[in-house]
Amino acid sequence: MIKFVDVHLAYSASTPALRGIDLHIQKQDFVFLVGSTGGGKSSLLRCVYREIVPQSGKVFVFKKDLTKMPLREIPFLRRRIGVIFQDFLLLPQKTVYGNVSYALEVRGAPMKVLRQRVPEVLEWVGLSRKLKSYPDELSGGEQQRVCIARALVNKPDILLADEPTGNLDPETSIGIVEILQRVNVRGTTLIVATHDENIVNQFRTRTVRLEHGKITSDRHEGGY
Amino acid sequence: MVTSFSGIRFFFKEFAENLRRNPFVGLTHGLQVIISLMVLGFFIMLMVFIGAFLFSLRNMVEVYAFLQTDLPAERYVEIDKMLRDMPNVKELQYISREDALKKFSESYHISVEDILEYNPLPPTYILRPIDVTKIESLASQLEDIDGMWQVRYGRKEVTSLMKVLVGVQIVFALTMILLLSATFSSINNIIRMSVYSRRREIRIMQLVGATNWFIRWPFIIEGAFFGVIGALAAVLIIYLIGEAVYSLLATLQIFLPTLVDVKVMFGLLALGMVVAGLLIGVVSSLTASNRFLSTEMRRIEEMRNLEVV
Repeated sequence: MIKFVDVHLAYSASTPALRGIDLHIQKQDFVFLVGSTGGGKSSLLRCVYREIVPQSGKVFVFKKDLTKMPLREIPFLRRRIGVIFQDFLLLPQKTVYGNVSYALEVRGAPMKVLRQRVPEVLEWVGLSRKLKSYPDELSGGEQQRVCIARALVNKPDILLADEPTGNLDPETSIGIVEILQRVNVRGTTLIVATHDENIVNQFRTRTVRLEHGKITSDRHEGGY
Repeated sequence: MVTSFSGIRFFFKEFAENLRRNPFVGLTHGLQVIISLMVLGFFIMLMVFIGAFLFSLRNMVEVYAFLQTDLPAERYVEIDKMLRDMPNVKELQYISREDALKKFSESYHISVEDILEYNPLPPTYILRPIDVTKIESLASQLEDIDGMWQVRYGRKEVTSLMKVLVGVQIVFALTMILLLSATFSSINNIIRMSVYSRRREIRIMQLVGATNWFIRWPFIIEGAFFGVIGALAAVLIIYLIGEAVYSLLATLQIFLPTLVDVKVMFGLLALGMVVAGLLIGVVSSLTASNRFLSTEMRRIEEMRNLEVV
């Protein structure tokens, strides 16, 4: 489903972010990307949803080479990929319902679909009672669940989470990863970039370690 | 491009929400458009009046052709036919020797015939040219006619008038370009502010798979809305000020010469300003949103071209 072949990426001539990455992620995999800050975790995720393009190597997603993908095709790629951020990236002026429905509306989805799918996904993440609340009325964990709901409402094939528990306490973090795990069980390929040792050790799934832009380990049995 | 009903509903909803959320930006935007288009409108009105006045002066340009007094009668008939057949002549007026004498006597209150015992005034033709710029060739054509005594026209005045007319046209064109650019740039700046203030939304839209056209549409609607509303408000203000000025002049017993049909001119101006407002609004929104969206593409391209050490 996702394949990196000898990928080299740098943000400036002297600061490489990814160095010779070879990685293959299968459909329905649940992968943790771990490593210290600046190791290249976020860069790798950004390559998957084609926010950046590596200077050399190939990135294949859904069997398509993203390094050669024309700009007009990018929106259609992203409709199949959900992204979750550490800082949630919610719209403060919109309600929980508005934030989630926004992801469908910008694709021109009909009202009928919105009315059916948004409450469904909010119930799934446990926020059905907060439909009319605004982001600043929610806790960090709840805001992250809105973010997850927004990423899931389009029924993506791949879900990418960039430090989804970075701003949360350990207990809430476990709750968030449990939701993500349920998403994975339903058939979505899941990649979680994190440096949260606890959750990696608790969920014991494939773990790829990135240090200074290189993969230093890829353990299928998991653990930090 | 999206044409579905839900897409259109989304564009208008986003536009209305943005207006409600940022009333100050909306107000500034509206005022900016009103002021810019109002200045433009007043300038056009002023230039139309000045232009009409100068063109009316142009229409007053006349050529006096004096014939010799001792020609045989049939020659006068031939000359009359020649003058009436000339191509660059709009109006032709004949003043006989008797009429000329009568006019002279009336003007100067003296009887030339009593003093000189004969009528010295020649038969005269007054010609109004169709194209004032070709007045010199008309004059030389007249001078070449056998039996012509003298041809006179305000050579100096006509040359000066032509220079002024050309100058006015150049100034008008340059000022129009300047004012249109200023209007475009001020609307463009406001839209850029609006795009920038919504960069977070744009990023989310991009991440969830909105196409660039979908992102652009709310801004285009915003630009078109402010362009048209601003133009209508500017037209209304110009109308009210114009009415007030006319009433004031009427009160002061000052009546302007009817150079142009004011109602027709104002109608055309109103229509032109609304179309200009709409076009400027749409084009500036497109430019501003494109600039923002292309920054992202440029960044990716720049990265792609980096030489990795």
